Amino acid sequence: MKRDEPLEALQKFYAACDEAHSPPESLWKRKPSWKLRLRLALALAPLAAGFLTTATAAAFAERWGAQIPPAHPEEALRKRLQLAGLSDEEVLGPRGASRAQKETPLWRV
Amino acid sequence: LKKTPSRAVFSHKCPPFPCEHSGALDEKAFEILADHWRPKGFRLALKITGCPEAARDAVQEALMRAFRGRRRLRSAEGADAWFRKILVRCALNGKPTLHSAFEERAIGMDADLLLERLHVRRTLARLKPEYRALLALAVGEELSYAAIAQTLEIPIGTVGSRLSAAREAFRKEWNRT
Repeated sequence: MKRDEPLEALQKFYAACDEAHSPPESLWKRKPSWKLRLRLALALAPLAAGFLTTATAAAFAERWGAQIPPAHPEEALRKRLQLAGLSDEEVLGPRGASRAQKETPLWRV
Repeated sequence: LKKTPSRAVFSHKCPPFPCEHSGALDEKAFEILADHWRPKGFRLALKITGCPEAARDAVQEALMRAFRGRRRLRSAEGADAWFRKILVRCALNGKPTLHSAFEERAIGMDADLLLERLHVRRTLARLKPEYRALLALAVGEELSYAAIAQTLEIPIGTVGSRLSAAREAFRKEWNRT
């Protein structure tokens, strides 16, 4: 019977594959592939972006915070009044005053 | 009385999977499957790709895909075949190279054997991916035609003819290279 050299070589190769070992630990401890790194980078990108935004906003507020009107001027004013020991009326004007009247530069006190 | 799990499956190929009622693999069952398939899958992927690096990537990718899709598994009996199918797809998508060292113990090995092994890898690299998978499953893993048909999602009747074609293609490439 004629020898089938290619297929014999293939079988030997498969036998060698069966002996080859890849320890389970090494599979997970090895250097991550570029695909895995890309996935990790994409997964962490929003987190990093959020962190940077928060850090930038905090730095900005620290430097120029005093010049930025707060989102709720009246609420901020009330807090400052409490700290300064003043009443609402002393700064906001008498009760019933219009909103325009209330929004005085005094909120910077 | 010792309470037995309601849905424990005992297969001769894989260790038993403690499964959820739906049949999907829970994390513990997946861990058993992964432990079982990590070395075995590496060897199968190596037979398909002929490249250890590509084989490791294929196993890693297959485990990730399987973990994500573990809830879709209908019954634990089919977990083995299900994972094999994922792994073969991942191995066929991989990009094998001939540069990576196949054998760590190459130093001191017979030069003829090394050359033959390289020749096999070169020949495999030139084959159609489907033929590589067929040869690995039929010749390397000695799976039944039914299992091969299920893994490659082809009719069982065509497995034999395609396998002959794969063998013939391998011989042709072997003599050409």
